[in-house]
Amino acid sequence: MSEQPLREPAFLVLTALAGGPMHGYALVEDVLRLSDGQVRLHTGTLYGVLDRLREAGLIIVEREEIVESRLRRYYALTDAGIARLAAEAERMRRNASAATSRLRLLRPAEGTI
Amino acid sequence: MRHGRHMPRSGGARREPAAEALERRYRRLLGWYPAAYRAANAADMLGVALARSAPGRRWPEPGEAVNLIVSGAGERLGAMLRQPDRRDTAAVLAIAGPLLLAAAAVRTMASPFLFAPGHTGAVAPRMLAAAVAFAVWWLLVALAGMLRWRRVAAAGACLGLAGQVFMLVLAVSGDAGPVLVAYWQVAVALAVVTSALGSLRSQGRPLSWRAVTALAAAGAVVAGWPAAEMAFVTYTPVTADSGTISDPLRGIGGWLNDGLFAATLILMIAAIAALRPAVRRRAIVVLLPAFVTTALVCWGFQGFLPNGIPFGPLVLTQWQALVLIPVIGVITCLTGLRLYERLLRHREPEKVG
Repeated sequence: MSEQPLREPAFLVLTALAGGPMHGYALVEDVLRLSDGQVRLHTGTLYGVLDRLREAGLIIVEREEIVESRLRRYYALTDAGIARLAAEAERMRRNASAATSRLRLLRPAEGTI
Repeated sequence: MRHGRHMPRSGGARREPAAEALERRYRRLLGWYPAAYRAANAADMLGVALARSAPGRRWPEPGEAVNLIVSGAGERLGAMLRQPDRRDTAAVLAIAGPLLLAAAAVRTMASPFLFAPGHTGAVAPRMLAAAVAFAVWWLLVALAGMLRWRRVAAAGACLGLAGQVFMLVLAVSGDAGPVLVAYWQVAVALAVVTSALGSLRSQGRPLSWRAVTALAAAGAVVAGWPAAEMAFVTYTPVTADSGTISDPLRGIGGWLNDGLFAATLILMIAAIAALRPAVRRRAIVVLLPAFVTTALVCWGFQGFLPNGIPFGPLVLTQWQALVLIPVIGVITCLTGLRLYERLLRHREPEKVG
């Protein structure tokens, strides 16, 4: 049975972590950048996503630091997380490609879209 | 702005710095998460929540606050349902509730007053059809729960709840029976939906056949109760289309009423006794307040029949009791359960030692 597609926040978090280990707030900022300002994760949503990804074995806590007397926990992709992100990106690429070719059929006179 | 001892005072108290006020409020919001989750994540989450906030803010952004409340409550519910004992209790209630609702629907069919000469003729056939539909539906939901078709049971419970809400709306508009009965059925259906959803990941058979037999027998007594009462009710016509009915709680009818109530209680105790201890004490948290409320309606609300058809409208105090007693009952039982389980946990190491 195939896996459920990742939801957008989970996909963006994995994408952000593909750039290297990050702590919670850095993830919020990077997801905002990756989504062109469309997705600004709330704290509760972020930790819900991180919990699910950890339970699925896609990410791990890499290390913890104390910065200005506050805890910072760094998250990193696992091998399973890298494979899952690659599979998800490929699935999305195929879907986008299908949509693009259908749209070309819809507007043949306009050439490329 | 003046500082030090010349700092302006607001009501005689020093104004808390914005950062401290914001942190205190975020800590309070994180209180929505379960204690174990907070112990593992609160420090990290607090750092993120504070970093997300604009400088100088004293209050969390409304969206962030709502998100923390919803996520925390969701985590609490999830943590609750991740425990096998709680899931199994939900599975038990997802069978017992539909059986009770099926019995209640049969009671409506058996109610002598639907067929009394004074009753509006147009309402009776419609209510009868609805009662048949609800009885069959809830029996199927109970059967799905017993067969461990959890998703089917949950979907059936959701549709059943929608039907009961529709009946409540009709009852409020005066088109379908007493509001008291419809209100009670919606409350039970809501508990059934919650239980059915909570039992989705339950593994084993929730009830033994012995417990199901006892529950079904209790349901049959509840269902047949109005028909038994009918023997002691007399209808006296006053005009061509109206009349008075005798009080069925007087004399032998009253004894029969008490006897049937006791029989239901004994059968329910037998069903509960067949559960394993951890599930039993959780089931009692819901079933005991429900039983106390039913007893209150049967015996405490003078002028009301056990099947809920009133001789007069409910007074405000009765409505308050009807809403407050189950809520207070569940909270009290839940507190008792937590204290008892804490005691058990303290005893456990002693036994080991």
